[in-house]
Amino acid sequence: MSAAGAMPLCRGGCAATVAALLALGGAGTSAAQEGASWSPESFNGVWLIEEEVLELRASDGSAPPLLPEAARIHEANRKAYRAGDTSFDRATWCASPGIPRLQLVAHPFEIIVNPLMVGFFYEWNRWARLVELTGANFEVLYPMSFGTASGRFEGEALVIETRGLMSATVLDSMGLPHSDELVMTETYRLRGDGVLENRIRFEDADTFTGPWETVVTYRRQPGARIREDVCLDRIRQGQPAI
Amino acid sequence: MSATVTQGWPPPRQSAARLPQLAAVLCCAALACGSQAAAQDGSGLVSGSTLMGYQGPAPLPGYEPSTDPRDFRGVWTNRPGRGGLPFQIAGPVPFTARASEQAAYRTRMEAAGTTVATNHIMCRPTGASQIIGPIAPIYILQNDEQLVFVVADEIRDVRHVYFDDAHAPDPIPSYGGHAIARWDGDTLVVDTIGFNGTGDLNKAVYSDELRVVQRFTKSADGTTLSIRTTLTDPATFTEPLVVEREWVWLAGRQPLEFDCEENPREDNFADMIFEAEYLRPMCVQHEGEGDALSYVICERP
Repeated sequence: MSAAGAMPLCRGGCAATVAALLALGGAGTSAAQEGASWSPESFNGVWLIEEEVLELRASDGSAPPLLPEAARIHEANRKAYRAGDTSFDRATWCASPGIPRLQLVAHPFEIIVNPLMVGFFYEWNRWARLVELTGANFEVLYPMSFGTASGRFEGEALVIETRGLMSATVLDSMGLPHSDELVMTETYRLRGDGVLENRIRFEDADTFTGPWETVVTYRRQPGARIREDVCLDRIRQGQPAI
Repeated sequence: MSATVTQGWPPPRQSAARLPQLAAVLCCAALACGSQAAAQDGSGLVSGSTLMGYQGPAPLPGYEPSTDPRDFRGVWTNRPGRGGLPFQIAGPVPFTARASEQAAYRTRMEAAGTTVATNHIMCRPTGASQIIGPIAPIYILQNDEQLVFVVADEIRDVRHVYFDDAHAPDPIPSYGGHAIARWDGDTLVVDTIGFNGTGDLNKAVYSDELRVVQRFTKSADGTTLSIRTTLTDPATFTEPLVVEREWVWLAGRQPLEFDCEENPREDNFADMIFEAEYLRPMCVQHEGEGDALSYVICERP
C-alpha cells in the first residue's frame, strides 16, 4: 500500500495503535494477523537493537562473501580493532558512521513516519536520516554516509533502498568495508512482540562476490525519548566515541 | 592528557559533501536577493530558483501545502530578508553591557581575521541561533506526540518538541534546551528553557536562563508559517527581544547531510581563540607529507 496521503495527524489514535501492538504476543506474527490495526505509523517509536552487532554475518551465519582485496582490508581492520586501533573508523573522531552501522550499535533511534517521508532519529551525535516516501527517484549527487534513499510500503513492510553510501564508512565495528557502489535494501517488519525486524540485503560488486543478507532486530522502548548526545563532549570526558 | 589513536585515514580529499554546503553558505550570505525575487514575483513562495538565480530542484510529487492549520509536516525555508540573515538577528539587539562588550570584542577579532571558537564552529548544536534563523531548509515531521525540526543540509540540527503539559522539573541543561509545545487556538506555542548557557546570538553568549517562546501561525493557504519569537534572558538582554520571521513552503527537497566532525583539519584551528576549554579539539587531522596519508590523532583526557 502507499503511505502517501493516507496519514492524517492521528490526534491520539497512534498511541492506541502502539498500545495494541505492545499487547500482542507471538514472535514472527504480524500486527494484522493478531487483529491489530496496522498502519504505517505503527513503526513510530524509539527502538534499541536487541543484540549489538560488532561483526556482521549473513543470516545463515556465514561470513560476508568478500572479494580478495576487500578481505585483505577487512582482515587488517579486524587486526587493528583487536589491538585497540580504530583509526579505520571515522566514528573515532565523531564523524558519521552512517548506515547500517548506526543501527547495529547499542544506541537508540526513533522512527517517525509521515506521508511524505520517514525519519530515523539516532541518539548517537544527533543524526537524522530522512527517507522520501513520495517515489521521487533522486539522483546520487555524491556519496554520503546515509546515502540517497527511497522508501515504500509493500504490504505491512517498509522497504528502503539506499545508494550512494560513501566508502569512507565501514559496515560494522570490526571494519567491514564497502564501496560507493553498494546498494543496501532494508525491509522492516513489525513483529507482534514489540520487536522490529530489519532484513538487510547488500549488493556491491566491487566488494562482495554476490548479494547477501543479514537480519537484525530491535526492541521497542516504551516511554523513551531521544536525548541530546554530543560525541565530542563525550570523548572529552574519556568516554568511548561509539 | 595522553595522546593516541590513529593513522591511516585515506588521503586528503575535497569532501564532495562540502561542495553544496559551501554553496549553501554562499546562498545564505545573499538571501536578501531571494527575498526581493520572491516579493517581485508576488507568489509569496520561495523556490530554489528564486535564490540568486539558482535553478533549484523540481517540485516533488506529493508535496502540496496542507491547509490544515495544525499540520506543519513538510519542508520549509526561512523567508529571506524578514528579520535578518540565518544565525543573525537584524537590527539593534538590547544587549546588556556584558553581552555588548563581548559582541564588540568578537567583532573586532573577526575584523582582524581571528576566529573565536563557538559552538557553531566547533561542531556543537547551535541552540537558539538555529531555532530562530535556520541556515538551510527545515524538514518538519509531526505526530500527536511531538514535532521534529530537522536541518540537514548545513549545520546539522535536530530538535524534538514534545506536546507536554509542562517542562521536566529539572531538565538536564543542553545546547538545544528543553522544548514543549501546546496549541493556542491554531497557533503552535513552543516554549524552550534548559539551555546550557554556551550558545551565542549575534556574537554574545547567552546564559542558562534563556527562555525562547515561539508562536507559529500558518497561513490559510498553507504556504507560510509566521513565527513570533520572544527571547528573555536578563543576563544578555535588557528587555525581552522579539524577532519575527516567516518560513515558506518548499515543494520537496532532496535531503543532504552535513558532517561537521568529518575533517578536523589542524589548519582550521591554528589561529583560533578558545575562550572555553571544552571547545578545544580533541581530534585533529594532520596532513601527510608527500604521498603519505593524512591521519587523525585524538587526545584522551
